[in-house]
Amino acid sequence: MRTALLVLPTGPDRDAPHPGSGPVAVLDLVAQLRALGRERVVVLGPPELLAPVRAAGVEVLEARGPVEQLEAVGSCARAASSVDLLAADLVIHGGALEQVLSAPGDGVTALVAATPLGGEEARLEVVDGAIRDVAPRSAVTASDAPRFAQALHVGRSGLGRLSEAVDALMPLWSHTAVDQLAGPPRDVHEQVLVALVRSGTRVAAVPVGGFVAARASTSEEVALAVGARSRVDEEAVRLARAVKGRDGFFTTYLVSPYSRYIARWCARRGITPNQVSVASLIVGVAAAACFAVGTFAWMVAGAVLLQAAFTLDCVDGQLARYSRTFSPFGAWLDAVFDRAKEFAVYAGLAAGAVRTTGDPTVWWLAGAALAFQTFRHHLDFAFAVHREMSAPAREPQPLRPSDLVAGSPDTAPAPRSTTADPVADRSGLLRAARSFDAIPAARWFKAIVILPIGERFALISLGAIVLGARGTFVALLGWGVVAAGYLATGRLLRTVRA
Amino acid sequence: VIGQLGFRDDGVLAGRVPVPRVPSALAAVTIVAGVAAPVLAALAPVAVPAAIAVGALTGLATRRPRRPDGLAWLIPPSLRAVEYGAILALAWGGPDPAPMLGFALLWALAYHHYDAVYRSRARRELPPPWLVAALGGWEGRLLLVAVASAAGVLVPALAALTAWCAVLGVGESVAFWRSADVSAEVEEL
Repeated sequence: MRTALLVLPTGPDRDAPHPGSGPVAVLDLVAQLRALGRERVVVLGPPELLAPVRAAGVEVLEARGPVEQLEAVGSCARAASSVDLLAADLVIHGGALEQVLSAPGDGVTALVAATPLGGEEARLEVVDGAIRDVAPRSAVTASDAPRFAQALHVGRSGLGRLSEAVDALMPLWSHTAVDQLAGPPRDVHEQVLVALVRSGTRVAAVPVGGFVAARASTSEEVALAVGARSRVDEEAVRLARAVKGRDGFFTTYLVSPYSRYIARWCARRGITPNQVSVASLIVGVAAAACFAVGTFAWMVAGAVLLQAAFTLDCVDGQLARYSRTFSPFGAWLDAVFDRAKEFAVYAGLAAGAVRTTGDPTVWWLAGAALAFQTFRHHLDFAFAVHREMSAPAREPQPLRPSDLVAGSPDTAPAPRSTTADPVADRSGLLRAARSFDAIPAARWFKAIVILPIGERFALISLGAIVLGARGTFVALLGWGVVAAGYLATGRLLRTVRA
Repeated sequence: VIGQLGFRDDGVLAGRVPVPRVPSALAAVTIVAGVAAPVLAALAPVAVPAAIAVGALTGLATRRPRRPDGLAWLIPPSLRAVEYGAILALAWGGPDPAPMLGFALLWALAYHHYDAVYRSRARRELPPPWLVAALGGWEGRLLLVAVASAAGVLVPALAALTAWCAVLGVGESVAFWRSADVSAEVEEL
């Protein structure tokens, strides 16, 4: 059973409710969670605040202090297939909730905001899309540190870690009284986030992005937050968020601006991402067949079809993100079809050149282009694995009473060394590369020079028309050599003395 | 399961050759030899056997790197380089359908090697040992193509090897992915 727990703020004293922390906007949030497929939505809090919620037919669990709340979280988790923990005073776009509650995979995800939500939200250190630490000293001093946007999703594979987190927090409360803390206690969902992160669990950070997320406890605050929410075009933000954040130049500027509308069109007609992937493969194979004819008019047709296939290739991912239908099989299909399309087009180009020129050695050039592209990809994969393995391990950190205090604790763990590159400060070339990266145009130059799939397909389409098959393969190989040399220099500098 | 060395695709043969402990930087030599082989096939065909031999021997030697040092990540791609480079170099000198069959064989092998990467990312596992053994391993295929080339039967050897690798490799992989209960996401590449 997919379960959502809404936590009413506990306030400074465990027995007295926080002034004005009544459940003014809870019912709105409950409806949003039900719309997102939560079969069980429970509001957790002191009995005197729960009456209006109960009267509205929403399940409630009476829990006065942190210990009772943790017990409630633990018991709900045992009967659940996934658990969401949210602040009950959250006013948020359904689209933002959807981003965090139906992220790909079944691990742990947390919503992260760039600006304060209006409460004492924990500040975070986010590295490579995951929360590395909660309220570390560096993040506390940095005014632009991201904050926990009060929504935590624990998927099936994270439920064991959730139980362990609750078990780790319990003994802390048994010998720490609330009034001994240096400040007000964290809400229970934040305590759980801290415990998960400290235990070394990977908590993926999902940005609020263009959506609105705010905390509102009084009716005036709720009115303000709801007003701010209604002024944002939620549909436009959803569509923008369907576009992959980091992508190539060609894809970002020449395909995604219109392919997202095709993705939405598909979503409204119930077309699935896998169907789009299959369509893309068919169009790609049709392009290869056109190239195989080899005459100029058919080369132009092949070039156009190849671009259509690439557009559909962008659409399938955007459709998956827009309609929140992720599947590992779909991701695999997408990756395998990409390779199939590309290499089928190589075969088509070679077959067409043999038909028109009678020279079979063009097959050899096609083979060289295929082999070099595959080799380059495998260098990328291997380096990615190397980076992952040589990254500093997330050692489990013990929980301290200071972790229970909302806002900024006095005894946050000392900042750890964050330099993943031990040679970074010693190598002048790398330093030069870093300052070069700071220029946006330079970042795009770098993104283009490595010849990602969009640029590659554009080069093939253009080359097929202008250069012919042989020239296209030479261009692919030549650019590939430059790209490999460019990447190899940086990577060898990073690893050779590491 | 996935060691620092990644997917070597060693066949039965590689496991039986005793090798000294070498630094993983030797993989750079394997890459150079693998890339040089097809270039030499066009410029100085006499040197092709030497390049392939250097690539194959250094490739075998990196089976036991002295320690998993900073350059160990070069080893799996270096084995792709020497295998693909040798096939290209030998197909260049072969009779007519050899270049086309070389392309087809490279396509089948690329499928197998990409599949190993996708599996390791999504499931933290590699293609089953029986499949790796049945496909001959990189060194087994390289030896087969080299011997067939020397014996003047390159074309039937490439055709048979391509059909075997394509049917077995793609068949097993599709069966795996249809049944797999995969929890992680395969990134778009």
